Amino acid sequence: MADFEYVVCPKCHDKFMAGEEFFRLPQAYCVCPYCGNEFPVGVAAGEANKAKETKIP
Amino acid sequence: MLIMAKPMAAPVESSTHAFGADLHRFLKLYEAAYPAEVVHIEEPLRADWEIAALAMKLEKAQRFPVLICHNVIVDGKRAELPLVTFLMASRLRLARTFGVEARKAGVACYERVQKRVKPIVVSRDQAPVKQVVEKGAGIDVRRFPALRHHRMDPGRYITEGFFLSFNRDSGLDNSALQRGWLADRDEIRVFLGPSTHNAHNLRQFEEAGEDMPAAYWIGHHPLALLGAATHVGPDESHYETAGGTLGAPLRLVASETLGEKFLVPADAEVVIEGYIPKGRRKPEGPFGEYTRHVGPQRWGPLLKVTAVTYRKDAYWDDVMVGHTHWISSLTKEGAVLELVRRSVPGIKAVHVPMSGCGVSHVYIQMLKTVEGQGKTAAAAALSGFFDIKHAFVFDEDVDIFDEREVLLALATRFQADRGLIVLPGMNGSPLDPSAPERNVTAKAGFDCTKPIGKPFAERLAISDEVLSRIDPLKIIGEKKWERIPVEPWG
Repeated sequence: MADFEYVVCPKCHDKFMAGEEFFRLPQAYCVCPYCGNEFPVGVAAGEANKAKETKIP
Repeated sequence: MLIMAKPMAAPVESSTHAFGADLHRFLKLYEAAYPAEVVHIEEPLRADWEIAALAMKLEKAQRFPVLICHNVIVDGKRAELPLVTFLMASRLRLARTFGVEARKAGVACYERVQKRVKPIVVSRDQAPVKQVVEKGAGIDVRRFPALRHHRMDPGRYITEGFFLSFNRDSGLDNSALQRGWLADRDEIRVFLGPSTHNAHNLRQFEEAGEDMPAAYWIGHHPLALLGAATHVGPDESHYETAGGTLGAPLRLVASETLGEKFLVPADAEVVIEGYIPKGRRKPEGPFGEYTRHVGPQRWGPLLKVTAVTYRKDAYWDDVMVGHTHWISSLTKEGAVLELVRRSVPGIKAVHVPMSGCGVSHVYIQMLKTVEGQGKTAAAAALSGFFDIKHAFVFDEDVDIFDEREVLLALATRFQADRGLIVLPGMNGSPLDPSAPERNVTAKAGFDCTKPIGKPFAERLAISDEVLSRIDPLKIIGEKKWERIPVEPWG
């Protein structure tokens, strides 16, 4: 089944499998199954990064 | 004494007892009849991984007693309810409950399902599941001793829980074993496969701009579980199939918070009521699947819990997903037999083995009378069931419940250039890790039957007369016999 990717939690750095929808849907975010950290990936991560960049003076 | 453990071949005492009509009565009566097969565990075991590890080791040792864990530790504290698991792990036990020998359990399940029995409605005071009712701030589903089974699971899951919804237009009930992660005190994140009837019901409600009333019902008599888990058409009631396998009407009772028309099983151990808020999604999973592989995290719906009801002495019922349980096999074998028999009359038996995850493989035993029937039988099974990936067809002298016999026949009666059929690009299980794309799979049929009208080598044999005279225990001596190691790969 190729409809997922491994993602790495930015907090605990462990990896897990996230379905393709997390990379497609702007509102989707992952939750790390090991530490509970919630974080965006894919489109949502891109949006979050763009927002961060616009805040930098 | 048996030379080798062959659980399927062991003679089974036939029984007509159904062992009651709910889980409590079942456990009491079954334990009285087969005390060695119900194990009470007093030692404190953590809900996180430890009970799954115990089950995994029992499975490895090919022992499948019902486990009742009286001291499950959840977040450092002893859970109020005991846990039952491995209930559905023994084919022998389920066969006894149907009153048949182990090989016939799938056929018995199918025949019972065909005798649909309409449910009856009882009042709240007649419903054991209403003995404890919790609503509002009193709700905390995390108190239940649900298990965290495998390493990548994000938390503790409902696994032997039927997710229940009603068709918005027809009002028909639909129950399906669908996992739920106890994510918060009143929030369960659920996985509803996109092609399931519950997902269809949810789409109906969401398209109408409404939240969907829904519930989990957890714990019941094993035959009710098999009936409710049987795949039926979208216009058929799972309450009626459960009544069919149980051999008695399923008793239902009105919900606490979802209205009088929302009926839940009165004899369940636990019912969790709530609603799926329209359009809301949250991450759910990853989860250790029936394929013995991990499925990825999904962006899925959630059940907002509005009430929890349970028996005073409720058991929390768990199924070890990804380990031995016969739910999918027994609900499929009879249906395959019936379907394939329509194309090929000589079908004798069907086995959906645990080595194929209880889903993917089917062994068909037949009396071939016309050339081509082997492939026809395989094609019928493969096209009739989306999740059957490989179908193997054998002559009637091959014991399809003994996988050494099955593999021997594959080695000695199969030629790939004549006996193989491949069906590429078929609809398949979304959970198959090898599928090239979701819901798509290549299927294969293996015709391992002997050709008709041509000489074929005979199987090795020794006469019954000689076999009956030779007793290895007597010849070798019982003491010596006990010391000879058993080698399962022999």
